[in-house]
Amino acid sequence: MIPFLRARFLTMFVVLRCLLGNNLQSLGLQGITEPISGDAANDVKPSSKAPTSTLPSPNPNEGNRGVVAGASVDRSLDSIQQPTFAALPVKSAGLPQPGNSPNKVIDGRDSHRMYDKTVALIDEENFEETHKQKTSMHNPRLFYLGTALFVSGSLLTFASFGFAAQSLLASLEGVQFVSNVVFAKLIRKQPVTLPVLLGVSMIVLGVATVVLVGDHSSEVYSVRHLTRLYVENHAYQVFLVVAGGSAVVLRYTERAYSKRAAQGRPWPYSSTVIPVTYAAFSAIFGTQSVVQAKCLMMALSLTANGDNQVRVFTSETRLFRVASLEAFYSRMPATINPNLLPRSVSRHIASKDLLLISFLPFPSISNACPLFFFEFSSTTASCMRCLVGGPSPAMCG
Amino acid sequence: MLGWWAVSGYVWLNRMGKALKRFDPMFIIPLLQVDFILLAIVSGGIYFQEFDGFRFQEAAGFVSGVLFVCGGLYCLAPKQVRPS
Repeated sequence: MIPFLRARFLTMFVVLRCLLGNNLQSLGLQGITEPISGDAANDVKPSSKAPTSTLPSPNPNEGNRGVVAGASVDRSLDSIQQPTFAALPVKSAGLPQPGNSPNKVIDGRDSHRMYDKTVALIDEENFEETHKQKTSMHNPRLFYLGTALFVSGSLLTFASFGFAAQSLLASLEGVQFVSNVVFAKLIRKQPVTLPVLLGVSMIVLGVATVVLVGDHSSEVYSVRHLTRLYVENHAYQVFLVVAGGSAVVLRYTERAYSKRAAQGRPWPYSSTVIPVTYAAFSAIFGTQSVVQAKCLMMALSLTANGDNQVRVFTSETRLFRVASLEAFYSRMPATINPNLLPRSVSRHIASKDLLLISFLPFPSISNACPLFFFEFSSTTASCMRCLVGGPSPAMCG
Repeated sequence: MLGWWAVSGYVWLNRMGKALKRFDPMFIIPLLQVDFILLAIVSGGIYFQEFDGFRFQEAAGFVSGVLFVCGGLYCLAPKQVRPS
């Protein structure tokens, strides 16, 4: 559960960051070395408490042109200096204020120094802002609230598989990007750029179209029917073969490209081919979990309505349990150190025999656990006596 | 069914976590989502026979809707891609 939560949280955070990245740049707060437009600078309101000031131009002959690190950058002093000092009410005290020294003549070197100080202060302010955002993620109350909301959402998503067709529900996954944009706009007060608006509109239109024309039926199949689909649904068999073959090809391609890239001799388009093949291979497996989740939801739904599907599971899960237990049992003797056993025991019996004896009663108990598989419901008293008494001689022996 | 669900879910989450480490997250997340949505639609539609009742107009509308969703995700993805 913890890796699941971490992966989902990280995904949500990254998607949000992905959406907000361009917006932060449009605010002009990513660094003063980037061009800042007048409109963006005007978005930052000067504080009434903060002293506002203006920096002189490095070269008075150049008017509103500034020079940073040897590179000429067109800057409007009116657009950049007011938000700069407004955002830094305390730290700006370290800079020479025109009001404090009205008669001081500031030459070009001083103005360069002041400009560099301003750049450093803004970078520091951005760092503190980012640090505040990061530390707010470690707020325990927010974390627990977020976890509770996330778990509830995941359970509701799982439950939704019982109400609609999977092709319909899968399309709705695109809505999470729309919610991220709304969250960014309302909570983070970030502007919505034109590409983001276009993307959101396309997603809304696409989801609406899919919902309108998609399959609205919510048939619930029994486990036997679902099992029969694997045998009788030839289209799905073809899909599985194609998906399996594609997975092999994708995996081989990704490894070959990655190997060449690691050797420093990348093939053309490596930076695109590697992530695309990686994502496609992952999705082939990931979507199988959605299909199986819907099947599980159907089984649970039928069971809740009185048509017990758990009994059908026993025949299927018994094979899985036997296989897993056999794998566990066959590996255990190799890991057991005979020196750790009491000498009287290790002298007479091998560790495998000991495990076999210990192993004997548990399958009968676990296979017949009435809470899970209702197998005691048809067990007679004589059968129960045999069940209990049977392993006893073996244990005593 | 339960075992395959657990295994495939684990593989998906594990590879998603590795993808976040290995690639630029701003590029790989929309890519993973688009692949996931497309394959989930196709696999679910075929396995549960949800496409059997489709007429031509419905199929065309459905495909165009899915393409719109994928195009919208492409617009939302950042344009500056850092190579892996």
